[in-house]
Amino acid sequence: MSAYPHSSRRKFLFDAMAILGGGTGIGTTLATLGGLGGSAVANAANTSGYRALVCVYLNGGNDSLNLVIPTDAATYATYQTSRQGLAIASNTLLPITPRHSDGHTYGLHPSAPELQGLFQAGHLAIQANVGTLITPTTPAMYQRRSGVPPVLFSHTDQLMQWMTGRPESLQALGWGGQIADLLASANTANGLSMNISLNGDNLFQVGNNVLPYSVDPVNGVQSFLGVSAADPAQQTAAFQALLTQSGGDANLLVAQSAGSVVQARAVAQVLSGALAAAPTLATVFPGTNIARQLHAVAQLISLRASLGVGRQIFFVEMDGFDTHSNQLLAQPGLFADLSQALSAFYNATVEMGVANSVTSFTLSEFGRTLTSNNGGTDHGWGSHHLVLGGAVNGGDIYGTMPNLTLGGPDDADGNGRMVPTTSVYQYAAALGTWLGASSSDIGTLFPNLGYFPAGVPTLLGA
Amino acid sequence: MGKFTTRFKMYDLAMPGRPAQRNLRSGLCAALVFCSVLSACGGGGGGSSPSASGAAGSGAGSGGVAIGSAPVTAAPPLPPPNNAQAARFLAQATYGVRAQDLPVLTAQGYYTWLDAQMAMPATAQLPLINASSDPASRNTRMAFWWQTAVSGPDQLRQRVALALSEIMVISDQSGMLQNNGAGVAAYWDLLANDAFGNYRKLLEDVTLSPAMGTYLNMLGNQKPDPAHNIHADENFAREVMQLFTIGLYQLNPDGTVVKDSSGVPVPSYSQSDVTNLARVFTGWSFNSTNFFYGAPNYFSPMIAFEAEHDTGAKTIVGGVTVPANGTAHADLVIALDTLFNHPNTPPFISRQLIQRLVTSNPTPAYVQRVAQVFINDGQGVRGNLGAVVRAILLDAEARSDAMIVQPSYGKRREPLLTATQLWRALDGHDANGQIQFWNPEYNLHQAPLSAASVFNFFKPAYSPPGALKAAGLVAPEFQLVNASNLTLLHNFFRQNILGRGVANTYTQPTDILLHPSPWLPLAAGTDSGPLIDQMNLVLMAGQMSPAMRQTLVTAVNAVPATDGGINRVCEAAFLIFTSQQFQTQR
Repeated sequence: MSAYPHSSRRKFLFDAMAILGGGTGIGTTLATLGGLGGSAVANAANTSGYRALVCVYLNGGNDSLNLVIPTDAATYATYQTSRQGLAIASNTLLPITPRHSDGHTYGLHPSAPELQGLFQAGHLAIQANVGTLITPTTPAMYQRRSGVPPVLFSHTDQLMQWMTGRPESLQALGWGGQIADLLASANTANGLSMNISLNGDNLFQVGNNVLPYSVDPVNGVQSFLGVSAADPAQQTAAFQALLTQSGGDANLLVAQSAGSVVQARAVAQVLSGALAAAPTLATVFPGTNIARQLHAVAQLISLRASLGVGRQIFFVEMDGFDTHSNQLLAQPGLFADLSQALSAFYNATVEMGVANSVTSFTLSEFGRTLTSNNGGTDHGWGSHHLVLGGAVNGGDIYGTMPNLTLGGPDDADGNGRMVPTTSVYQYAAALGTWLGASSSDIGTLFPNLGYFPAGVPTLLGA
Repeated sequence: MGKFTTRFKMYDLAMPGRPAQRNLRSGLCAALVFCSVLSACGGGGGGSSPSASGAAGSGAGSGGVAIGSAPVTAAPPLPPPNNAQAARFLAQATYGVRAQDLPVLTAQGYYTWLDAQMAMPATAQLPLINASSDPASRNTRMAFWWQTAVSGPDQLRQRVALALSEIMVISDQSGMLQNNGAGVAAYWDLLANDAFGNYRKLLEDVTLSPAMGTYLNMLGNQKPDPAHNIHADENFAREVMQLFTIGLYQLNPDGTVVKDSSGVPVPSYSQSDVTNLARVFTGWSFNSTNFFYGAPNYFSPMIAFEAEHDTGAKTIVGGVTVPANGTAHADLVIALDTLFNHPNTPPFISRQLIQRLVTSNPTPAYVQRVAQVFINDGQGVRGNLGAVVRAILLDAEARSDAMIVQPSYGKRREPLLTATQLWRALDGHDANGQIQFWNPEYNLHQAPLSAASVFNFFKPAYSPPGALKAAGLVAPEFQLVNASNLTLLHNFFRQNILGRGVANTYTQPTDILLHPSPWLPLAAGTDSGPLIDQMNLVLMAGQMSPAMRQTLVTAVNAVPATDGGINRVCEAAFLIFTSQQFQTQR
């Protein structure tokens, strides 16, 4: 963490935020004051060709401090001193060699050899210590609760803030949904949403106009049984008539679920037709839940031409990261499942010839405490994240790795809750820009971006 | 046992914050209609207090923000319901309406029915499970859960237990609770036993439940060890505040969120409160002789091991001090008393119970009326859940017929409750009289005590994108509404109503078949109108639109009645259960 805004300016900005309630009006002011920073050059929306983002949600708050671990003797010693019984043995770590050194060396958890390979091959990047921030923040600011996001360390609230990308705001739309609102015109209007979830509803994909469409990863696209043209005519006709009636019902709950049924049936027809003609992937996926979801994403991407889609955002989810207990027993399985599934998915994109058009990234509500509760860890704040794909400027660590000293310059409260050194704004802006959002749209979506002098990370090519 | 009567003011029934004009008009309309039923409407009028000795006499204000404003006079008791009103009530209070329950309720009236239900002991599932061949099996637990839900006599108690199981969540999806059917069932029985008791007792029973201890890591939580950078586990401390008692934000007495001058919700506790409360909850483990290595025991509350308890002073929410050198239990009592007596707890819990039983978007006034009963049941007792449940079910907003047509009224039925409604109304069971439905999550995306996380299958504040969100409404159960879930839910009814072949005959003894013989005489004639009318009454509380009725009559008339009517009954049931009109309980 290098530069913070001068305190006088920070004061001014906070006052402005207080007046505006963190609303959107501040966006232009900030863009003028600080610019979008970094490499962001003004650009228009880009909807040519095909691009897809895949959000991999690690449910529960991933303890990434045990995924990416310092390996040089002095820094490892700090890690070990802080982590005590939860430290991973240094001789088991899988070394990685970032293209730009920060003076330390790093390794990955021993259960993630596939991620090591992807990093070394330049397809995987690590964004260090990302978290919900309103402005660059120090432990002292946290301790006097100055300018920090509301309701830190709570699953639901921190997840909401990650998914809206707006910890300073109470707005209720997801950043994936709002970017889809901007880019959905790249797709043929056939009823299929630009945003597809393999794990049900999620705020990340909810926009003003675009709402996520859910596909069951195991059963694929299912149809409504008993009400097709092949079924008894009076039955199918009555079902249709009741559905139409319910769509016009004065009760909002009745009408809304009726609309969902209509959409589900229409899109199922479009998708099942396309799926019938889909090629079989040669890439072998593991049998885990997360791999099944990513396999379904790969299958859906293989239909991009027949479905007429140019931009897509997918959502998959992996559970089990809320490791309050038995963390040393749980983490090897969690990281192995994640590593193997991401690797298979990357290989599938290579097989389909879309590796450069598909970018996967992790999202998790928070990191975890460096200290333990004797066996597990509690809810933290900043966390390392993974960005994978052919368009990724991989083999590198972006942002600033935190100092793992308890009570040190990055520790919020003495328990090793890391104060993030990169904001969700910056992380999301890099991903949204790559998918095709214009720089002015990014400025509107993440109005506080201008607070962060480092700007948008250069994780991805143009 | 005194009867509880509710009370209200005219403006209680308006819908604050609803922009649409027709809502406002309907709201006034509802109030007017209700006034004509209950003459005490308007407050202060009609000094006659019925024989009831319930909370109405507590002098608490109603409708406004201030507590203790003008006393509200008790309304006269509700008259016995007609058939449709009885069906509506039973949809809120049981696992599903059966035709044979209607004459009982219409004859007894609400009060006698409630008294009888609340006096009934819980159907205990654990003894049944322990007597089975495989007590650890989740399948065993599921089978006895269905049996209790579909045919247990203590319907209201079990329905409230379901609601509580979605507030004070444990889940067999987690670690040690997998393959621990008996241990999880013991937790269900705890909720059922405490369903009409005091919330303070429920809170302590839940806190010391080994299943909860396992799920949220209070079991084995030891005092901090700074030399090894070990802090007390914060999981239970955080969730007992966020989910089981006070919630994240300070609440007004009507359950609305307190906001600061910038419009930002005011938090109800800080991270320091969590850290300190975590220290309070140290020192508890299985009822055995060893804190660390004691034999698992899910059938007895956790016990304290003082050597592992943090005896330092702690300052918890509200600035309450837990003094130094207290025992684990003494500290715990201070903490639970503090949470129980926090002003947030009555509206926070009351609102969620209303959402689980009656409607997703209760008016703040409804929440406040119920919360007031939580605060004082009329006998000076705080936390009387039986009184709270009565207040919820007997409130004008639950009972007035005029509410049914409110555009924002009602709740989407939980998928589990649609399945129990099917099997209760049409007597579903296998050849052994059982319901061995082991994996309801596959089609219903819900199974008892089996949510993906402590945040339940759906959250109380979930607002689904679309017209509901645009109207500022929540609809928690819509968190389970998406394309794949809707399809699988539809296909559940296809499979379980039409999927058993001609004439509904067993091909395997474990098939869950419908046994609709009481319905058959209604289906035998040329006109299926009487059948549809009875289904309308039982399944939809008489709320079916004329167009829906006509559609169903036309479709069912096209099905031959030569089989005695079974196919007609199944056809009608299939079309009703798969309709969105049925899926919303109003």
